[in-house]
Amino acid sequence: MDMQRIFWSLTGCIFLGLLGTASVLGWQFYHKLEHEVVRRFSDHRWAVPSKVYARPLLLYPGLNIEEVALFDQLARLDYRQVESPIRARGDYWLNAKTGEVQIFLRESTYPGRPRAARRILLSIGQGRIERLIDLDDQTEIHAIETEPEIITRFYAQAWEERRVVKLYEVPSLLVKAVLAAEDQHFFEHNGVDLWRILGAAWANLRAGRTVQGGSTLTQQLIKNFFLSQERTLERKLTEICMAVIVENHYSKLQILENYLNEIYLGQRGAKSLFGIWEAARFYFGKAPRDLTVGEMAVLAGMIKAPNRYAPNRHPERAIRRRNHILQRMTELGAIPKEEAYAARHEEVGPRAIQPERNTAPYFVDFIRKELEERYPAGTLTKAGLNIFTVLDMRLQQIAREVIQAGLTELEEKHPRLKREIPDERLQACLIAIQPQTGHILALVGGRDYQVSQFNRVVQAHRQPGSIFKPVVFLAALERERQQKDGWFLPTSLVNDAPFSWFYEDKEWSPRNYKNRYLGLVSLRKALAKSLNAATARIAQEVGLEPARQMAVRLGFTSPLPAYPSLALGAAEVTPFEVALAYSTLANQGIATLPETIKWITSRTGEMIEQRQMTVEQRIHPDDAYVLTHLLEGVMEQGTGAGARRRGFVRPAAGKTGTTNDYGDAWFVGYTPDLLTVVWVGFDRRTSLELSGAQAALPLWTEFMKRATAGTAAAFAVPPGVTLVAVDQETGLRATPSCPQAIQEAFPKGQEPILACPYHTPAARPPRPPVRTPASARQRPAAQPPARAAATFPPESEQPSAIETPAPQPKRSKPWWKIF
Amino acid sequence: MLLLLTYSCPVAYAQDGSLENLSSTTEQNDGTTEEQENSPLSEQVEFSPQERVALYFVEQGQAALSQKDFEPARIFFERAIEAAPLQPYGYYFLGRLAFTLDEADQALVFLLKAELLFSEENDAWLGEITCLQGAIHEAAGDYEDARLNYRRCLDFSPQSLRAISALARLPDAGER
Repeated sequence: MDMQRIFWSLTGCIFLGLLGTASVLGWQFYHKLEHEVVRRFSDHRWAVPSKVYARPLLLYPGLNIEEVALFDQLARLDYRQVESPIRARGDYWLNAKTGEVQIFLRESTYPGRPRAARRILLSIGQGRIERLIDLDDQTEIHAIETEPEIITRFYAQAWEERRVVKLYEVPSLLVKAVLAAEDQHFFEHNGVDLWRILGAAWANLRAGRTVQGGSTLTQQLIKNFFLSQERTLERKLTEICMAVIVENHYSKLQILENYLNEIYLGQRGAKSLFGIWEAARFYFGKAPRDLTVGEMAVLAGMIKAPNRYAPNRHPERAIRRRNHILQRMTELGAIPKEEAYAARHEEVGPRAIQPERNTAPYFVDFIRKELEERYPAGTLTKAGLNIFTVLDMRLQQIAREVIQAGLTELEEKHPRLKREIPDERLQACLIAIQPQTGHILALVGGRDYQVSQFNRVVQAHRQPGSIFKPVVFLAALERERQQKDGWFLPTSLVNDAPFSWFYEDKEWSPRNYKNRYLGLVSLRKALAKSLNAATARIAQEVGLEPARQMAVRLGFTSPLPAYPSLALGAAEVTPFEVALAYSTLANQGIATLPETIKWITSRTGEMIEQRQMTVEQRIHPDDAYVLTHLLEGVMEQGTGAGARRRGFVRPAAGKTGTTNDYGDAWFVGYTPDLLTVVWVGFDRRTSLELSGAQAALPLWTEFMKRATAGTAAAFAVPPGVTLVAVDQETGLRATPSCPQAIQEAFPKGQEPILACPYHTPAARPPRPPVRTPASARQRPAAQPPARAAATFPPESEQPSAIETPAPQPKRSKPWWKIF
Repeated sequence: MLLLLTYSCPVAYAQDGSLENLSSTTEQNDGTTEEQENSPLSEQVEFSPQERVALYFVEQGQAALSQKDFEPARIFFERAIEAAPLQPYGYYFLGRLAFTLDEADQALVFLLKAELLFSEENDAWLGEITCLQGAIHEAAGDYEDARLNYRRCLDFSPQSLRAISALARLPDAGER
C-alpha cells in the first residue's frame, strides 16, 4: 500500500514536474515566439518597386491630337474606350457624331500639381483641340495634364507588383466579398476558427483529398508573411500559435489591411501581382473603389487559386467562381438578391491590355546609375519611390523607330555594313535635349538593349571629328569681339591651303579631303564646307589653349589634350558632352544644367527630391548667335544640306562630323527649341566608309521632322548683332547688282561699310533672291518660311585629317584678308 | 490673360517677393498709366497654342508669387518655359523669383535670357528687366553695374521713377 502510494506520489510529482517544466518551456517558447512575431509584424515592409515616370501629356486648346498620338497615349495609360458617355475613372468616349472626346481623367499625384479625378470634354476641329471643358462644373479650362506614364519599375530579384493601399481606400463591399470567399467569421474568431478547421477536415476526409482549407485570413497572412508553403503539422501548429499572437496584438482592421495588400493575385507576364490594388488595375483597369459588384466578386474568388480563376485566362471558371461568391454574399446579407442578380450578368473576359515594355531602357539605366550612387542599396527596388522624369514618350518612341529604321536602311543600302554576330552590328545612338530647360527628352543608347546594354550616349568616348570645329570658330569669334580687329568676322578670309604647324618640336600638317584646297575662303564657307586646313589655321591663330578652354566652358569634360589635332576633333568625347556643348550654343550662350529627373517622392507621396532649372552664362550671346548663324549656313549650303533635300524645312543650325578613318559619323543640329545629336558607327571602330552627312544626317533629319512637327520658330537675334546683306564673293555690302547676296551676322559696329564695287550695273546679271538663314525677329509664322534654293550643290564633308602628311612650307605672308 | 500681360507687366518689385502694380506709382495726370501707354502687348498679337498655354502658366505663377507661394510660382514659370521656351515672360519672372530668394547669379542669367528674347520694340519690358538688373547689382553692392543698368532702363523707359530715384540715391563712383 505504502509502495503504491509512494509510486503514485512519485508519479504525480514527476508529472507535475514535467508539467511545470513543459509549462515553463512552453511559456518561454510562446514568449519568444510572441516577441519575434510582433517584431517581424511591426517591422514588415513590403518590397515595393520604385516607379519611373515620363512627363505627363499636356492638353490645351490648339494641340494637334494626332501629332501627340492622344489615343495611343490613353491606351498606354490603360484608359478604356467606351461606347457611351463616360462613367468611371479611366473611361474615354469618342463621340462619332460630334467629334468630341470625353475623358474621365484619373487623379494625378504629379508633384507640384496634384489633381483630382476630372471629367473633361475635348472639342476637336481639324485634328486640334478647339475647346477644353471641365464637365463637372461646365467651365472652360486652359490646360490640363494626363497622369504621367510609367516607363518602368525597379524590381528586386523577384518581380513583384504591389501598390500598398489603406483600408479606407478599399470599398467595404470588396472587403465583404473577400470575407465571404475566405473567412466569413473573421470578426468573430481569435485567429483560429475551430469549426472551420473541423469542417474542412471533414470535407477533405470525405473527398479523399484536399478540397477545402481551414485557415483564417490571419493564418493565411501569417503563412505568407513568415512561413513556408510546406504542409506539415509542425508548420500548421506554429501558424496557429502565431495567428493567435497576432490577433492579440493587432486590431482586426490592421490585419485586414495587411491581408489585402499581401495576397497574391496572379501574373502579368513574368511579374507577380500582389495586393488588391494591382489586381483591380490589371484585370479591370480600375482602382478598387471603381469596381462593380461583379468585379469585386471575381477578385475575391481569385484568392483561392489566382491563375485558375483569372478572368483574362479562364473567363468561364472566373464566372462560375464569381457567381458562387455572389451567392455567399447574398446568404451572408452583404448584398441584396437583386444586386447579386445584376452582378451575375456582368460580362467577364479578357480586356485589351497594352503590353508593358520599357521603351527607354538606356535612359532608365542612366538615371538608375545616378540614383544608386546617392540612395542606400535596395532603396530603389523596395522603397516604392516615385521617380518623375522629363522624358517625352512621344519623342522617345520616334527616336527608337528612327534608329531602328535608319540603321536597317543603311545596311540595305550598303551591304558591307551588315554583320552576322548581333553584338558586332552597326550601332547608333541619339539624344534630344530642350536647350532652354536642359530636359533630356529622348535618349537611345544603342540599337538593341537586349543585345548590348552599353549606353553609347554617355559611355562611348569617340572622336567627334568635325563637330568639334565650331568650338574653334567660337573661340575665334570671342577673340574678335574682344579685340575688334576684323580677323574673325564671318566674312573674314582664311587661306585654305596646306601648311605645317610646329609645336613641341613636332610638326603637324592638316590635310583636306582628297587633298583639295579652296584657297582664300570666308569663315562662313570654311565652316559650311568643313575645311580642315582653314580650321587648323584659325586654331593656330586663336591659340590652342583658348580653343581648349572654350570647349571646357561649353561643357566638354573628357580630357582634351592641347595638341593641334584637337582643332579637328581628335580628342575623344561622348555624345552627351556634344549635346551639352551645343545646347549652350542653342540657348544663346546660357548653359542649363541637364535634367533627367524632376522630382522624387516617397511611396506615400512625400517630396524627397526636387530639381529646379539652374542656369549659367558661359558664352556671350552675340558670339553664340553669330556661330549659330554660321551653322545655319551648314544646313543651307554646306555639309548639312542633305537635311533640306530630305524635306526638313524648319530654321536649324547643325554640323556634320566624320573621323579620318570614317569610324564615326556624327550629326548635331538644333532648332531654336530642340537639339539632337546622332552618332553612327561600330563599337569596334571599323570604318563605315561613310561620312556624317551620309550615315548620321538621315537619322537626325527623320527624327527632327517628326519631333518638331507643329513648331516653327526662328533663332532670336541678340541686340548686339546686326544682320547685313553682303555680297557672298566679296563680303562687302551687297548692291542690287551683286549676284550672290546673303544675310550675314556681324557684331554691331563691325558690319561692312563699303558697298560691293565689283558688280556694276553694266554687267548686272539677273539678281537671285537674298538667302536669309531664317534668323528673324518676327514671331514664328504658322508655316515655315520658304527658302531659296542653295546656290551650289552640297559637297561631301571632309573627314578630319589627323595624320601628318609631308611638311609644307611655312606661311610667308599674311593669309587674312580683312574686310 | 492678355489683359494681365498688358496692364500688369511693369511691376514694382520688392525683395520680399510682393508684386506692387506699377500703376499705383506711375499714374499720370491724365489718368492713364505709364504701362498702358508703353505696353507692347496692348497691340493685338497672334500667339501660338503653346504660347497661349505658357501665358496661362505665367499668369498662374504670377498669382502664386503675389501670394508669396514661391515654390508653386517657380513650378508655373518653369512650365511656361517648357511649353514655349522662346517666350520671355517665364524667364523674367524666374529672374524676379530668384532675386526674391537671394539667388542673384541665377536672377541675372534669367533676366539676360528674357532680355534676349524680347524684341527691341518692347521698351516697357526691357525697361523692367534693366531696372531689375540694376536693383540686383545694387543689392549686391555693385553700384557701377547698377548705375549702368538703371541708365539702360531710362533709355527704354525715360520716366521710370524707380530708375531715376535709384540713380539719385546711388553713391557716385568717387564716393565709394
